[in-house]
Amino acid sequence: GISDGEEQGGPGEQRSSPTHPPFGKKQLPSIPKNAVPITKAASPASSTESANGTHASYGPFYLEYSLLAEFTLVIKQRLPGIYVQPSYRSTLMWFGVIFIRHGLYQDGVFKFTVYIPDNFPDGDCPRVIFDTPVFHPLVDSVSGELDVRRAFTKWRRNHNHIWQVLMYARTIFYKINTMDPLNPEAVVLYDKDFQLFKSKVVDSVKLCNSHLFDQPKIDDPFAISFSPWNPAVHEEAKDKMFRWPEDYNKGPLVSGLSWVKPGSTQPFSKEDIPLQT
Amino acid sequence: MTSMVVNGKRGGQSLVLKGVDPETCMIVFKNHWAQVVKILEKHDPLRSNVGGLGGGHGLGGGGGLASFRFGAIPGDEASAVQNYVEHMLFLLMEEECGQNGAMGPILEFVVMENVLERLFIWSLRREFTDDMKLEQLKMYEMLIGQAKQPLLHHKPVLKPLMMLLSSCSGSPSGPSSSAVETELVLLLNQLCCVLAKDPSVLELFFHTSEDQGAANFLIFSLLIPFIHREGSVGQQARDALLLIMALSAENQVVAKHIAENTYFCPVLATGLSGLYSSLPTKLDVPSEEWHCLHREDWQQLPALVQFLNSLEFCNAVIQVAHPSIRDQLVGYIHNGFLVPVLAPALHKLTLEEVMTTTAYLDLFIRSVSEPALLHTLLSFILLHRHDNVHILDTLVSRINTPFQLGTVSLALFRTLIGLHCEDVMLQLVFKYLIPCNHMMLSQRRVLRERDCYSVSAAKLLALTPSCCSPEVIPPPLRQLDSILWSKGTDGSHIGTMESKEVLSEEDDCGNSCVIGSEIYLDVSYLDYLCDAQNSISHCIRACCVWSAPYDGENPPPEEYQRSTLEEADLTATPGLLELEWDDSYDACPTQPHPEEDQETRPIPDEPPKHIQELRRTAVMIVKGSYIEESEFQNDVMVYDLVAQKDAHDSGNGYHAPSKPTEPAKQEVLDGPVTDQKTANSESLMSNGLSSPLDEMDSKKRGSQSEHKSLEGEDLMAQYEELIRTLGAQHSSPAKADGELKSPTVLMDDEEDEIDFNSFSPETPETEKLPSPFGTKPRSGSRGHAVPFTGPFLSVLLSRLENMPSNSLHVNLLLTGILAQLAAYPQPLLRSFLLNTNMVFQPSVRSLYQVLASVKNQIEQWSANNKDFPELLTAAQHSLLARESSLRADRIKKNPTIQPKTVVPLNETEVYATVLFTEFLKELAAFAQEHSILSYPPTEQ
Repeated sequence: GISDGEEQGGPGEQRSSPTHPPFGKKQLPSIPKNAVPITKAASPASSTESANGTHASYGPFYLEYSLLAEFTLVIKQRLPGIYVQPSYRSTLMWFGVIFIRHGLYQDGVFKFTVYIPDNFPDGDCPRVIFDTPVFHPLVDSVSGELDVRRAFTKWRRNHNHIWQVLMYARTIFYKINTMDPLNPEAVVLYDKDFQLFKSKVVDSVKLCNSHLFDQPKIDDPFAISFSPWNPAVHEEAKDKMFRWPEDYNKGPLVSGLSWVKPGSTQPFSKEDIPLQT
Repeated sequence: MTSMVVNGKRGGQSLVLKGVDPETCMIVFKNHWAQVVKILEKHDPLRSNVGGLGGGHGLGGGGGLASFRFGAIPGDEASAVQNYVEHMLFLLMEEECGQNGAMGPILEFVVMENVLERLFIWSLRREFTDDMKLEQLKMYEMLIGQAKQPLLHHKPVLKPLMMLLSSCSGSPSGPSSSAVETELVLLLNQLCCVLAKDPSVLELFFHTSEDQGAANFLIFSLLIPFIHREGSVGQQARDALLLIMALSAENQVVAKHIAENTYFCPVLATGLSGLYSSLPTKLDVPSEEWHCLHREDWQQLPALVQFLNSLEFCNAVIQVAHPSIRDQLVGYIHNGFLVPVLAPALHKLTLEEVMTTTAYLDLFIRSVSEPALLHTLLSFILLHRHDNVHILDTLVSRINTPFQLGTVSLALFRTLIGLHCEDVMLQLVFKYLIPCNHMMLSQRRVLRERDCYSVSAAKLLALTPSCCSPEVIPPPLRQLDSILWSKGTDGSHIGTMESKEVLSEEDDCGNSCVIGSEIYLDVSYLDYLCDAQNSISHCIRACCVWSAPYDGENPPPEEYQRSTLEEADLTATPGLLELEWDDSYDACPTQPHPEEDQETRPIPDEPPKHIQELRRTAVMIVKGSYIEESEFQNDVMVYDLVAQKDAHDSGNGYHAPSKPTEPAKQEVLDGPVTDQKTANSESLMSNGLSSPLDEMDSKKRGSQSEHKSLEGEDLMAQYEELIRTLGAQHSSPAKADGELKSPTVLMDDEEDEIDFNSFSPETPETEKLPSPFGTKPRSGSRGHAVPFTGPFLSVLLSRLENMPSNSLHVNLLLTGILAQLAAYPQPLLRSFLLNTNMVFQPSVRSLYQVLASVKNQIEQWSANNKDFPELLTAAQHSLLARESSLRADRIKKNPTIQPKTVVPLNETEVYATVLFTEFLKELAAFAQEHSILSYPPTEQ
């Protein structure tokens, strides 16, 4: 529903429009492809429709930027061992990979795809599907889908963010939860025959890693693909990565001005400036 | 004659010399010299006394030049000497260095025999005319420029050169001819080039100067008089000086000498004052749209070109010179130009003069780049007080003036904001936002939050007037494009996605909202997003040098609430009464200072003299004012009322705002104003009453002035009287039309609607006048600190609120400045401008509220004007044509096709509507881009 103080303001009759979720299902009338544009002046009565019009024309921008904002948050979190990349074709689909560095699943490299509902952030929680179904109580052994919903029963805008889903996807490999499993077999083994469980995990990790260099499951220019180290290709990229902070500052030199002493709010309070009285 | 030598014979001579061996050259040289010496000695006045060959060297101490001159030298002997000398010079120039950098034999001979000094004395012996000087100057210029071995290291070369130079400086026979000056500067420039390449010569120059009895740096001193010279001579002199300035950065002796023993800095700075005084005090403003001096403008004004050359030179000196010179120069500019000259000029008596000075100031700021010089200019604006009023406050208060002064002031602020200078932004904006008094306490923690879901953008875009909705605009103009909206659902194993091609409204579970695969998007919005991204990232990088993030925590709001900041400010901020033209506080119906301040602070009986004068002339401008100007403290109110009255006197009600070029208004302009020939009529009109809104405006101001005025009661009484008469007058034609309803201004629905019947004679009392801003504190709230976002933001928003009646270029400036501000990443400013969810104190007008008010005005207008849609379309075409013609101008002068129907520019509402719609997109794009930009690590 509606949340977080969206209801203030809004002039009169326009009030109805912005308070609706920007991409809500009722908000976005399907526009017939060959719709005849209305050329007559709109009477005041049509203003609510026009607000819808603004939404139809800009709605995709809102969605796109909501997802970009989510992505920016992910980057800011610097989640350990997790890399994601939105697909080329749609920001609603992100490719990702998790590196597990210790614990039962140590050395596991699990590729996954995140599917985000197109009424984000007002819809269901995003779905996470591993490319190869990992042997894990919370991962469906056939589809590879991770049980995300148990952690995000209700997706709440402003409170829930995609980085949390990614964080959750990582946590499950370090802290095994056996309640209401998607993969009951794994739970049975976990409880009854932990050694067998462990060896199945090891097998699963091996299996996943053996498919590491496979072509990406989804054909997309931005899909994550691994290949053996090839200096001709990778060396340069690596150098670039390590040089990144320098390169970043090299952009066209723009400098603002400041003579404010830190901690002061008086203009020209810095001391190392020429005296002029 | 000499020039013939220099230009004509040189080529041939050197060709001849090519095959000749050095020994032969030496023999020829000696031969020539022997011939010359014969003639020289024949006329040597000292010869009889001394008798020796080399006796006549040296000028001697106090011997005047005239003492050498006796007996005429026959012409044939003079030209014989000259001929020999020419040949000798060529031989000297063509000589190569000896082994290991030793002198060549000819040079050695020249040094031993002191040839050059004797030749100089010879030229003194003859009449030392300009021609003689020229001859000598050219000789050295040639030698220094073309000799193949270094010459200046040798005292017998340097000394006569210095003697020549000093004879040029101390010429007793008045100023030298321009030919000599040209040659002198050329030679000096050449010497400076040598100095720059070989600083070791510098030492010699100083020592030689000492020999002359004056411990000065002759080359430098000789250049100073040419600093401000126009044309190529001045340019050459300035270039030469710059070379020395660069030297000074590394050479403490030079720096010290220039700073302590020369008048370089004072000459430079006071020269600016001199040049400034020859600038036109009033500009011929090309059009009403004009608001700043572009290159095409100032290139037409030679005096301004010259001033800018000198200013540019100051900038360059500051860039390269030693810090001691830099600091001294900057100090002199402040104390010798800005304070004594520019400050009074900014407070001249007439609008045109003040406007002109403002335009100059804007140009100056745009012309300099060196931080130290900008520091001087900006600290002058921010800290200097003229008649106890900060320049900045005066400038801000002028934004709201009718006439072109307002727009020129806006343009100045556009420049200032574009500098990304923390000090400027602090004084203009942040000072008022830091305490966070403008928002509800609970909002402080959301200050830094990002608008993750583009809620603010959506709210801004939802203000799009219905007549401009993307779907209403007819096809050629509407930039909707169908874009394939793929949902990235290639994965066939995802069950829900299979229905994706189906166009359907879906069930209630919210699980699979299905949209068409194609959606019409406003593609022009992509450009706004792109622009916004560029501006923001540019701004973020520029603000890296700032001292604080201004995020509601740093600087900490608590430390700056009332106690510290405001008290520190009390002395710094002038009382309202001292501000000319000021109604900037109208937008926010409060005062920056509580009433006590005004009461305890001694208020001058009268505003400063210059303001009184300015006011008087301004009032004179408006013809037939029946209001004594002294009865009003608020000038703008005077304008509004007087203009209203004039409009009525000429029999035209203001009820026909769709035809703003009524005779009445023309008449206003044809009055005594006419020396102001350009049509700044528009700005008067735009401020004046082309729509009933303005009346409300003046009403607003009227009730406002209640707070401000000392004699508030009197004023209000008169004001109401005026309103009453106006109301009575205009109501009849309106009724006769039987059509025009009192237009109302729709405020946010929680606020009162304005009933213009309240202007009827029956209800004149203030109490019955509805306030356009329901929350406005009435008299009861006097004396309390009321949240305030500062005069600058207030005045911007107040002008923005008048968008429908503003002329196009005013709106372009206003929206441009707001867009500049919207690019700033500091959460305090970003949240104030772009976060539509922020809850502000009731007395604070937010940008969103103002935009909502503009939208309502537009909706009203479009509903009442049948031909609005057609006009709107035509205006869009005009604006597109305008843009493409501007673009064509930039590439090459190419007349562009004019649109078929041209909407007259005085149809301000139509243009404002188009602009408003685009402005909303621009702001929404800023809001969206702010939400996704990764800020530098400091934000972590």
